[in-house]
Amino acid sequence: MTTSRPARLLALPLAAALLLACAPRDEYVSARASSLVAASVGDALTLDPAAISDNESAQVAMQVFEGLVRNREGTSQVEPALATRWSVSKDGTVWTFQLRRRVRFHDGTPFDASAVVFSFERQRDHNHPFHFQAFTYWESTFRNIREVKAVGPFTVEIRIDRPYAPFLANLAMFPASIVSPTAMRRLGRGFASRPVGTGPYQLVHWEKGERIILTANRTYWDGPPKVQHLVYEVVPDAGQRLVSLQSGTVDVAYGLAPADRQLVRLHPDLTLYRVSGNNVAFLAMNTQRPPFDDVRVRRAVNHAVNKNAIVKLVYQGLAIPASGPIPPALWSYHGRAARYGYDPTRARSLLSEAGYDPTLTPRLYVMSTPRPYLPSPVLVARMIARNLADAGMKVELVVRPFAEHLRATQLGEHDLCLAGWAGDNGDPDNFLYLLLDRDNARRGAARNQAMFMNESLHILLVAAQAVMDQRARERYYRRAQEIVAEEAPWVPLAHTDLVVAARRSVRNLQVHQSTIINYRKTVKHGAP
Amino acid sequence: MTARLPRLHLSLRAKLSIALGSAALLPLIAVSAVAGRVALGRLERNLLVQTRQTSHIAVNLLLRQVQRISREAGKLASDPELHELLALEPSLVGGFLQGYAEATEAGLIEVVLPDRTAVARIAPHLRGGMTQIASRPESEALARALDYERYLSLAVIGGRLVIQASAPIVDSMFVLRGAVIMTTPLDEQMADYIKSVVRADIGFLTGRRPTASTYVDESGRRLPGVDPPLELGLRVLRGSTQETIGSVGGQDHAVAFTPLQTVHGRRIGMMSVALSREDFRRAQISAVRSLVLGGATSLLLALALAYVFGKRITIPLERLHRSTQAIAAGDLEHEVVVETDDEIGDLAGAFRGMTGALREHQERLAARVREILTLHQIARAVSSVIGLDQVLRLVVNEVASVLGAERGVLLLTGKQGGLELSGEFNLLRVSGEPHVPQEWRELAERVLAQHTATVSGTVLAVPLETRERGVGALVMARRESGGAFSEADLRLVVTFADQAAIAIENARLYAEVSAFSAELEETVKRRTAQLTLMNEELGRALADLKSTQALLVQQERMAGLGLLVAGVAHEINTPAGAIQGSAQMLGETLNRLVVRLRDLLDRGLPREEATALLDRMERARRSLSQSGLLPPAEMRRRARELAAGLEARRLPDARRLAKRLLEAGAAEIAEDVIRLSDRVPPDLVVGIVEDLSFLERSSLSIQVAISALVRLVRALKSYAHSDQQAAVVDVDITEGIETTLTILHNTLRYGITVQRSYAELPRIPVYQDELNQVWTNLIHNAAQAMNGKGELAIETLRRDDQVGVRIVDNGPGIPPEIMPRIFEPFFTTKPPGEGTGLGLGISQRIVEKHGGRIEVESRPGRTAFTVWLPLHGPPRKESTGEPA
Repeated sequence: MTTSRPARLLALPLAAALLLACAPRDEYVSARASSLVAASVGDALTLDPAAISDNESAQVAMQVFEGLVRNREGTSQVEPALATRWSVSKDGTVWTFQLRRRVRFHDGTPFDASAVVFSFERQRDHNHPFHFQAFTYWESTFRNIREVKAVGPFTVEIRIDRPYAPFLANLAMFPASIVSPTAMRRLGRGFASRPVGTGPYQLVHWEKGERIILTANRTYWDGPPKVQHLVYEVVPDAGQRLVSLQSGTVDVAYGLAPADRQLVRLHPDLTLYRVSGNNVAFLAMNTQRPPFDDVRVRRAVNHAVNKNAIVKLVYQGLAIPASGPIPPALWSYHGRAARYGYDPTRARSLLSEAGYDPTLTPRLYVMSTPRPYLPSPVLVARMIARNLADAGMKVELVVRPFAEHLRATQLGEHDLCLAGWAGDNGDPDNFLYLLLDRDNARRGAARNQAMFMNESLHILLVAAQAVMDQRARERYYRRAQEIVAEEAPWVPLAHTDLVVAARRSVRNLQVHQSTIINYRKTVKHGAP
Repeated sequence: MTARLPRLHLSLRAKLSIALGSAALLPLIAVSAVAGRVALGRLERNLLVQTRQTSHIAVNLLLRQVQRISREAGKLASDPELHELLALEPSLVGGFLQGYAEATEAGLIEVVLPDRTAVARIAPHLRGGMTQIASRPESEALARALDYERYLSLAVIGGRLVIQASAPIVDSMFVLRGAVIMTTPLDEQMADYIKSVVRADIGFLTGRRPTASTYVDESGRRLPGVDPPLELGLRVLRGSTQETIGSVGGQDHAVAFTPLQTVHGRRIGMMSVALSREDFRRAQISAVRSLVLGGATSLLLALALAYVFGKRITIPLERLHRSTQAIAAGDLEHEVVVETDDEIGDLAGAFRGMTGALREHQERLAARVREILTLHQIARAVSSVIGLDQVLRLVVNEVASVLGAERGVLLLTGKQGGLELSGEFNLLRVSGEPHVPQEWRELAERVLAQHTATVSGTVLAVPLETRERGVGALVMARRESGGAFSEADLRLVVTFADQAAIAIENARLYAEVSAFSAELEETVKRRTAQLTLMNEELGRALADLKSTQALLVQQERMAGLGLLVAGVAHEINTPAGAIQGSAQMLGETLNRLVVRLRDLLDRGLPREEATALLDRMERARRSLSQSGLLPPAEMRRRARELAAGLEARRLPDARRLAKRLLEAGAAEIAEDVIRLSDRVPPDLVVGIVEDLSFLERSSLSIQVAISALVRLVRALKSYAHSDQQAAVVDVDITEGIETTLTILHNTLRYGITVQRSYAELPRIPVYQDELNQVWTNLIHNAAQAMNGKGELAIETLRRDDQVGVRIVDNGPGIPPEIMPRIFEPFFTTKPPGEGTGLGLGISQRIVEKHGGRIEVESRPGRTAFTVWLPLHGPPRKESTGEPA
């Protein structure tokens, strides 16, 4: 059938106009609806999970890779991931993992025991062809691993040097991710910018300094993710991140300025995710030298510091006052162990009871650079100094850049010092043993900046490492927190909250204590 | 049966017009109907979507206002003047706030004391009574502020929606002095403000009840606003934005309702944003009308034209059609040749205009793309490090190809700089002769001197300049037929020239730096080769040592060997460790240095400056090997001076920089660090200096270690002389003792002082290596007897035809009861494992072989072993027949 020419002449432009009017916009809308854009503070540095030590890189790596185990949604508890079950030998040094079958890496390589051995051995063995550097996390956290070997196609045995209960929690961290050996062999160092794992998302494009685009892994063993594309867009300015979120050009924004938090809460289209962070900021007293070798003086300091005012003013509501070393969200937290309210009168009477010489000027060491857990260290130090002066203790501030501050306080040069810690693996050991055990009060490398040496505490903490039963461990740690409260080596100051803002159309965001967001089950509703 | 229709006789024109008409009519109706419906639906949907989007913007605007008020509260709370007044004279705070009223946007400002009594209150921009929205003592805003926290929320006070912001007043002594609370109602003023930005009617509702809006009725009276339908209102209060069509003041509007909530997420009201539906309806109707009318008119026109002009019209139509097809296929060069003097002619004209515009657009686009591509390529050339020649070729070629220039030359200033262009040009030919016309040279000189680019007809000249100086000029020419250069061309080339100048500068700098690094690598290679040689020598010496040891073993000198090995192992380990340590760091440092030098290059320093800097660094490195480091006290003093100098120039971390510079032995670089600090981070310069100094020091310490090793091996060789071990040679006894002391250095050096008193002795014939073992045994025993601490005296004597060597220690002495047994084989006083008990036995045998004897005297505090040897050597019969 033929139409006359004039009719065609008329029909063609009309049809074209109609197409032009609807098609691109609809396409844009549908593409936008199936992708989720997250505004991040900076670009990832590397996507080789073994080499990562920054948060931005870990964010992306945790979508692309998985380890043998992972953290259960919203907790620091461990659940199966690439391993389906595991057991530990009687002496606590041999862990045997049964691996998940029928899992493939994004490049099609089947996942099996050899991939696990490869991923660990390249970090452990300095002569391994893919041991590109000394991997930071391995050298600090995984050094206790002696051997990793395949004992069957889907069975792996990991031998550690002594029984160590937090070991499983460590395996849920990103450096223990399993990488595709084929891809690593093919790409070498290039693997760091073209990572291949088994995770829910795979990398499609990385424009350095600008954005990373991930796409859903259709064959993900735990069910393909709902959001088709995941885009990490680098937006360095906090104000710009908020504006982009408000206008809907991004769906999730990391690292908001504290002052913008209430604004997000007022916005009808936005949701604020607030996670109590896995960290602590504290004032450590050097318990090995006068006057802070006297527990009465330490208690006096605890009563003298107006913690609430400091935390509210300095953190602008983004932190909670700390009552002890462990953040409340961590298991074994013992809230009732604390006992020191703000009470200048009591502080003064304790000082005179201890015969404190008011002409002394203990030196309070403070870092000049802000830390994630301590946004304005010098201001905090000045407020503490003010509080102590009110209770009759004059202190002298020693302000130094962070590296020098750390060196000096680890040598124990200070009388008092501000310090803090951001936990790695969600195990109480990571706080109590590291920060308060006598093993870590060695001058020169003291993580225990209070130089606190308490034999009962030591026995409890070491026992808790060797026992695998979590309820028993919890008992030990609760008792340990009571000892710390009684002996008062610190003034615990604050646990900083982590804040992520998202559009309301985004549901099922799992924000972990480390701020790493898991998008595995995230859904995005409706148009932008 | 069929009725026979009368046969109509129609003209061709009539047939044509009927066919045309009916063929056009049907699709036209169909298309109009579909398009009409689609357009109407879309418009309606668009209206709702637009309303929703407008409401998004309105919400963001409202929140920006909220943010502003919060900031204002914070600012006021931290005003030191307010702190002072609150501490000294609270009654004056009211007056202070009045002075503040002009600047603020808040409706009501209150200052409240920690005991919750309001000390002052002003309402600069409030129409209604201020008491209605004044904060209550129990309000959250106040409670939070008095708990040191800043607070910000929407709230309902006295039935009205308000913005509330509060901040604690904390003075410089961290004492809480009170709180600032700012409250602003969401009233008509606020609604007007938002309307002025988004151009839509705005309303605020407390709960579902309208309280303020921008709506007015026909008489200009304010209306309270739109009520949402019940169902929809509840949905909004559950948290989602909803749209509906509603009537305001008798007019249809599309209205979006957005929930408003407190910081705790409690929804307390909403904001309505309304766009008039009338305007859209009018647009709809006119769209449909023009569609139908246009269709009908064109149909009638088609019929009429077909009828009147028939064939005449089909031809231009045909042409027009072909043109559209050609253009649709992308051929924008296609000429629409319809020269009729009617509507079709006009249409064709319009068509021509359109294709012209399209073509122009496309050309502009293409030009822009070319420009971007070029810049991109240049940028790539800048970032990738290539040779100067390549850069120059690239520069001329790229510019020429972008501009369609026939010829292009790039003229560079010579080494003398300035404007002496003549004779120093680098000339690159694109096409045509390599000859540069004189007028081009003049033009180039002129543009470079005047820092301006010029274009005159088909010749274009641009200076190439970096920040500091001109590096040359670029001249481009087209053939006359190519057309004149435009201002746009000039702009492109200027942009380009800036990039190119940097590229040229970088390429030069790179060439210099790579020459420098190559030299450096060469030096390191040479040193490494030397080290390898020395290592080989060492290897050979060690092999010698091994065979010596084998012989020693073979000759049952196990005890001596044990001593020897213990002493020597330590002596070898120390320098070997030093070598290993230095060698490990060498590679790493070299890598880092190359990276840093690249980095330096990328900073785009002018050539002279970079060369001078590198020269000074090199000098500092060389001087280090000659002078070494300063004594610590001097070092500290110099560091203080240097740090003061650096601090005066406001360099951060001056002290650390000073210390690092001094430790790298490069104090003279400090001036450079200061001078370059705005362009090159001091860390980078200092890092390079440190690396250089490290390389130098490592190679020095390797040399020192190796000479120590060589010395030791020589000592070992002279000690053991395996090749002559069976022969009697004339030796200086003193030399043998000294060699032994060298080997035992490690045993003796902590706590034992050695006193020597050597007589003039002739050389005497002995079994040198065996005799050395005697010295070793005696000295070692003495050291052990003193428990590693004390005085060891060594004396040589001559008496008649004998020479004596006396070794004296001030240890506890040998108990008389064991004295008779000390020369027995396997007799030892040392704990098991420390000695074989063979030492003195073997020594005695060796001395006896020489025809000499050993004398011992001992009392607490002084034990002396004296070895007497005949001046004329061992008895003759002993000197032959020994197994080799």
